[in-house]
Amino acid sequence: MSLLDIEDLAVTFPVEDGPDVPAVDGVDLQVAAGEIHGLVGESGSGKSVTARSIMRLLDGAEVSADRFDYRGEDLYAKSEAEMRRVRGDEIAMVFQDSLSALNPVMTVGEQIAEVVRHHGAVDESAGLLSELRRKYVTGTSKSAPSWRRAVDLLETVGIPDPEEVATTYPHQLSGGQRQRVMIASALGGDPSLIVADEPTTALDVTVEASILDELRRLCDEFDVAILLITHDLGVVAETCDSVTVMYSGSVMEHGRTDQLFENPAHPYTKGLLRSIPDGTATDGELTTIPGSAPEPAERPAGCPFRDRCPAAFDACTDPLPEHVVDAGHVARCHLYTDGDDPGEVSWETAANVDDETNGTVGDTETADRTTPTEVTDG
Amino acid sequence: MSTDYGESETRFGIRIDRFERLRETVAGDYKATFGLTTVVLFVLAAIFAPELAPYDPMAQDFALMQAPSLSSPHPLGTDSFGRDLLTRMMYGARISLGVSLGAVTIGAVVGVSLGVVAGYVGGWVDDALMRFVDVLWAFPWLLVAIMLVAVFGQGVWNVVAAIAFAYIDDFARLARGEVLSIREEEFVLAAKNVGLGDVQIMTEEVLPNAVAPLIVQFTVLVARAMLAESTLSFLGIGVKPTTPTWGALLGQGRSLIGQAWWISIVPGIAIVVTVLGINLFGDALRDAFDVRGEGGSP
Repeated sequence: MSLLDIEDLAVTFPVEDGPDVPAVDGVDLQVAAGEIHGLVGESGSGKSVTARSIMRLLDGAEVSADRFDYRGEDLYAKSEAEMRRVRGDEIAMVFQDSLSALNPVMTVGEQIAEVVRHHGAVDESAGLLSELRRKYVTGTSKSAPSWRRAVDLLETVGIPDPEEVATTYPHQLSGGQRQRVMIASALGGDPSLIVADEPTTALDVTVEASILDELRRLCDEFDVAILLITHDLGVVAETCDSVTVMYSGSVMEHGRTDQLFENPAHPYTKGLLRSIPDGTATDGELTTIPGSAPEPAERPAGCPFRDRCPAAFDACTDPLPEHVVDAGHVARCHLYTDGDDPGEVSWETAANVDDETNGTVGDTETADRTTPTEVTDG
Repeated sequence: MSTDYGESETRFGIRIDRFERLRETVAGDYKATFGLTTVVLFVLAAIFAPELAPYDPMAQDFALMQAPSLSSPHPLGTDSFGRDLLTRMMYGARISLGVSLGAVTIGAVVGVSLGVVAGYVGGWVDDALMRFVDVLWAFPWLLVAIMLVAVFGQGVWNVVAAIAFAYIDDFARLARGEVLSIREEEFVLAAKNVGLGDVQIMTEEVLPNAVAPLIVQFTVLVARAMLAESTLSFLGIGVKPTTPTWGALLGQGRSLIGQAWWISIVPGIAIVVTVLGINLFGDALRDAFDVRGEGGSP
C-alpha cells in the first residue's frame, strides 16, 4: 500500500477580479514507503503546489481531491491540531532556498533541537515558557538531550565537525552545508515522508551530487520515503525509484524510473528525454520541445500538451485517458486508446514546424472543469 | 589593531548564549562599557540611596540655603530650602529611573504584544487592534495623566500608567511593521511545516527577528519618558512635590538659575548622562541580538 495516495487532485487559486487560476488539475500521485519518488515538470507545471498541498499550507487555495490519503487517512479530514502533529512528525519538508528557510537569528543547533523537542523525542520540556527562556536567555544547554540529538543529526547528514557547526548561524555556512542542516532538521521529527522541493537547484553540481547521495543513503538507512521535486531528469535517473511527470497542472506519465526511462510512452516524456544534452550535438544547438507551456487559465481542453505534441490528433480534445503501459507504468495519452502502439513519435517533424502554429494556444477553448467535492484549505 | 587567533575563534565560533555575546560586545566597545557603567552606577545609587546618601532628603539646613556646589559639607550644594542636593539626586534617581524604565517596559510589553499579533494574524484582527492603537495615539497623554490624577490622586503609579499609555502605539506600530515583513519569510513557512503553532511561531521565530529595532526604540523612549516624568512634575501632576525626582529638581532650580545654577544643572547633567548611557548600552544590546551584523558595529 502506498504511504501517500492522492487521486484526482485539483488546486485552484481564486482571483478576486478575474477567472480562477487552476494551478493543478487532475493529479494522481502515489508514494510508497521507503522509496524516493521523483516529481518532474517544468516551471509552472504545478509540482510545488502539489507538494505544498500535502502539508495543507496553501493559503487561499481551494483544494479538492477524490482521495488524499496518508497512511490510509484523509489528510484533509484532519483537524488543524491533528495536522500539526502530522507536520514534522510524519511529513517533513526541505526547501530549495536554505538561507531563507532557516531562521537567521538562531544557531542551526538551536533550530534542530527545537524540532527535536517539539517532536517529543527527548525527555525535555517544550512548553512555551521554557522555550522562551531558551530563545531569549539561556539557549539550549549543550548537555541537553535535544542538543545532543541535534549534533547527532548533523553528523548523520554528513557534516564534519558537527559540534562546532551546531553553534554557527545559517549565514556562516556554505549552501551545501545549509542544505544538509535543512535535511537534519527535517529528520529531527523522525518523519516517514520528506517532501524535498528542489533541494539541490540552488547548489552547484558537485555539491548537488553529494546531497543526492545523502538523500539516497538516508532513504535506505532510515526507511524514510522522499518525494523529490525537481525539473532535472538527470537527478531523477540518478536518485529516484519511481517518477511522476507533470505538465501544465496534470500528470502525463508515471511509473518506475527504469520503465519510464527505457520505455517512455507519452510524447511529452519522450520529448523531455530527447532534450537531455548527451554531448553529441555538434551544431551548438540544444534540442528543445518547440513552443511553451500554456498559462493555467488558457489551458486547452483535453490534453494540455496537444498544441505542442507532434502526434496530436482529433481525440486529444477529450479528457485524458489512462493507458497502462506496464505494471505500475501509466501514460495518460490518447495515442493508446485503440489498443495498439503507435510506434515512434516523430519529433523531427515537430521540430521543423514553425513556432507560430506550434506554440500558441490561440482561441482554444479552456477546459470546462467539473466541480469535484469541495475540500477547502484554511 | 592586530587580531590574534583567539579573537577570530570567538568571532565565528561558539556564540550560543546571548549574555555571552553581550559581554563580548560590551567588553570590546568603550562606548558600550561607558553606557553600561553609567547606568549600573546610577541604578546602584538609586537602590542604595538610604545607605549611601549623606543626609535625609527632607532635612533642611537653614544655615546653608542655596549653598554652592563643590562646597563642604554639601558636595553638590543645597537647594533653596537648604536640602542636600546629592541626597536628593540619589533619592530622585529612584523615581526617575524607576518611572521611566517601568513605564517604557510596560508600554513595550503591551505595545509589542498588540503589534506582533496584529501583524502576524492580519485581517480583521489587525484592523481592530491597530484602530485601538490609533485611539490610544489620538488621546493626548497629558490629558490621560490629568485624568488619572483627578480620579486616583497623585502617585508614582499614575505617572507610570500615563507614560506607558503614551508609548504603547510607538511599540505597536514598530512591531507590526517588522512582523509584516518577517511573516512572509520562508523560515516562518518552514516553522509551520514542522508543526509549530501560531503562538510559538510569533514568540519563538518571528519576534527574535524583530528585537533589534525594538531595543533601539526602547532606549530612545526611556530618554523621552524621563523628560515626560519631569514634565508631569513640573506641571504639578507628577509625584508629590516634596518627593525628589530629577525632573522636579530641574523645575525647582529653573527660577533660581541666575543665583544658584547648580540646582538645575546637576539634575540636567544626570538626565543627559543617563540617557546617553542607556542609548550606548542599547546599541550594544542590539548588536548582541543582531547576529547577522557580525563585527559590523561602527
